[in-house]
Amino acid sequence: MVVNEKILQKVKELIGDSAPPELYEVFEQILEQQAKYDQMEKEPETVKKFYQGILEINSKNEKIMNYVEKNV
Amino acid sequence: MSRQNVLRIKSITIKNFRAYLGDSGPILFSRDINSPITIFHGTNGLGKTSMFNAIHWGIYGEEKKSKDHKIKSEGLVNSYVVDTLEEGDNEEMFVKIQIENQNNDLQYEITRKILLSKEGIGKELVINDTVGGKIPRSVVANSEITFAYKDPDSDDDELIVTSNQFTVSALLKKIFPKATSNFFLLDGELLDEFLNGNNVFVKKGIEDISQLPLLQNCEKQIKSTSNKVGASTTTNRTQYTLTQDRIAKRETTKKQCEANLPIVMNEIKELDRSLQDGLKMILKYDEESVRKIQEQIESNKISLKILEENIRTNKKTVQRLVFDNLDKIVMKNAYQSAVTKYKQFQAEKKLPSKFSKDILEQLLKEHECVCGRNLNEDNEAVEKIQDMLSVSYDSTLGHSMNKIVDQTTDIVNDFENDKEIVKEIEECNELISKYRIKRQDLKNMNDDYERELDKVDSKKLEKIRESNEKLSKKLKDANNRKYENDVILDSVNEELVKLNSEFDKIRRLTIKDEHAKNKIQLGEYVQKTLIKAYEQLRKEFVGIVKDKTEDLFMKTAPQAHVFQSISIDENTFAIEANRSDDRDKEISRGQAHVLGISFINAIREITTKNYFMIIDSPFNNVSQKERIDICNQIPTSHKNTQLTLLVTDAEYEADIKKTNLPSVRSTLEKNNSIGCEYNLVQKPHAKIKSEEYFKTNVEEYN
Repeated sequence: MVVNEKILQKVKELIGDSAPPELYEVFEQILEQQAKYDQMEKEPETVKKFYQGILEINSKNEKIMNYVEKNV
Repeated sequence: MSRQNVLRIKSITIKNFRAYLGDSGPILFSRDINSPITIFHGTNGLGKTSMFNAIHWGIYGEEKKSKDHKIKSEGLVNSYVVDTLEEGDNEEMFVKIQIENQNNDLQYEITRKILLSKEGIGKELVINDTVGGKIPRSVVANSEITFAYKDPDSDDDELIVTSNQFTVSALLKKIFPKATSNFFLLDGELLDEFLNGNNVFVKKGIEDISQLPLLQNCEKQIKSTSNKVGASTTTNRTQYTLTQDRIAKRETTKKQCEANLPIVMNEIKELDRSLQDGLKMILKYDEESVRKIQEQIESNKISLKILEENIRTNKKTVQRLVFDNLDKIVMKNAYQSAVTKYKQFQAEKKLPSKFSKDILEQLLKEHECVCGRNLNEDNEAVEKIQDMLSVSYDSTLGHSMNKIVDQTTDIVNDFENDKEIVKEIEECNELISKYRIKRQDLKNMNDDYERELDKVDSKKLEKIRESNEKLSKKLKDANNRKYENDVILDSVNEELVKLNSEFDKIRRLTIKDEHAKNKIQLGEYVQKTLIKAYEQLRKEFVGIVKDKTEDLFMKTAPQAHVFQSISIDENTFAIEANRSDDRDKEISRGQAHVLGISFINAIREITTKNYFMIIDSPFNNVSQKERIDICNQIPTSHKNTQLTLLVTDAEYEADIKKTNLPSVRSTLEKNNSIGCEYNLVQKPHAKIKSEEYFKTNVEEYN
């Protein structure tokens, strides 16, 4: 699903150049998946599970969490 | 845009929709990027708007334009089909639209149908909602829709087909949000909607089409997930969820207030504008102004009388002066003419004239006196007479002439020395012409005033006054609402700061699970970043659209040099072209048309979908010169966009010989812009309502 390139660029700009690439990927995944949900009907449970999974997995990533802690 | 999805119509098939009787078969649209235009042309009433409506109905299940109640009463299904349906017969009406992407891959296929069956012989007409008009009570109409789409999650070329009305409706709403229909199904007559910014669809459409709500939706989901993590891991669930609820409530209120703000501000702006217009009218035509105009007329009439008197007085003075000096004036002219003649004769050596003298001498030589006596024998007498003649001639002619010349010179000099009279006459004449000019000016001014007074309609003024009173009340209400909204927003913001800090504390103290803390922290970071992205992008998008609109408009608008810039209202997205001079001249129809089109094209800069564009009556109220200018700019203004124009034959084929302007068709052909061209025809052109009377054929133009 196509996400407006300007949105992705803006996210990249806001998280900064020093952010780990994994953090940008978190945003990319969220935006792309939500764009699909916005386009086609999906069960709310599917959407819920996706977001839970995103937080669950990435909160264990040290690189991401170190960066987030410094910048939140 | 490298990641932009092009959506273009591959074909449309129409059966029994309004003017289109029978199955049209697939009507192909141009998919050639270099010749992106598809033309449907025909005379009025042959189905251009029906074609436009067929596409709109196919996608949204309703028509965009309905011309009048007559058409509404006829309904969507071709009248001939309804009228000739026999008991037990079934018939269908459908519109099938195939939409593909830039790689010619079919993405969507929409087939919307109405099935008719006649279950009796009753002819009584009743309104049927499915058909959208009147049909016999005995005819039953059922709607059906089939939607085939490519699954965005799959690389499979096979389309998924669904016929569930609710699912299809929900999917179509997402792919073609109603609010965005203004950007691809355009009515040339309604292009002004983009200029006044009153249409909420325009505002919502721009936001939807730019995918900004995606950021808000992600933020909402991540927030909800992270809140749940907190609620499930806290050691004081009651306090945690209570504070969370309070924050959620305040945020809802905040959102409502923020959403209300542009609406109420727009309302205030509109009310203020209407009020000012009314005030202007009243100020122009109220009793006081009328009285002032009447007073001015009267005062001018008095001035006119004075002027008339002055003209009369001066005329009299001139007459008197001329009369008193009439002899001199007349003599002067006569003397001047005699002197001129004398000088001329002298120069030509005609003076003194020898004619009379020669005649007399001739007579003497013939020895005959003028009395008839014979003078032959009296030479002495002859000589004497001859001498006398000479003397007499010289003295009468030569001397007299000199005398005349002297006298003339004296009189002329005498008159010319009396310059006062001449000056006085000249001055009087000058005054007379000045008074005459002034008199004409005053007369013209009074004519204008009287014409102005003729326009004043006291009843109309009364109505404007009443309407202004109501507007004032509404404006007061709107201002109060804005004030209340601002107060609530301020207090909610204040409360939110307190509650969020309170919530942070609760979270720190009551969540012991480190992993849960990390999840919440990550969620918070993502959330904040998405909010910031939304806020900044919204502003940036307005700037991008403004710059692109300006760029296209300045390149393509007729007489673009009279404008210096374009402005866009950040709240309403209303666009305006700013003139480079101070003249308060309104934008022309052609310029407004190009401004609307430039704006729509500029919107494509911020979208992920490059929708096809279909314009009904694109040249409505646009001059021929502007039409040609617009056509010449299409390769620039509609880059990468499939464009379909529904035009009348007159708009399309007419050239203006007087001004040497070519037709729209020849201009588009010259630019190689036309990919497909169809002529809408009806046979025969008869008044008898035969089967063919109800049928419009879409004939490919060769």
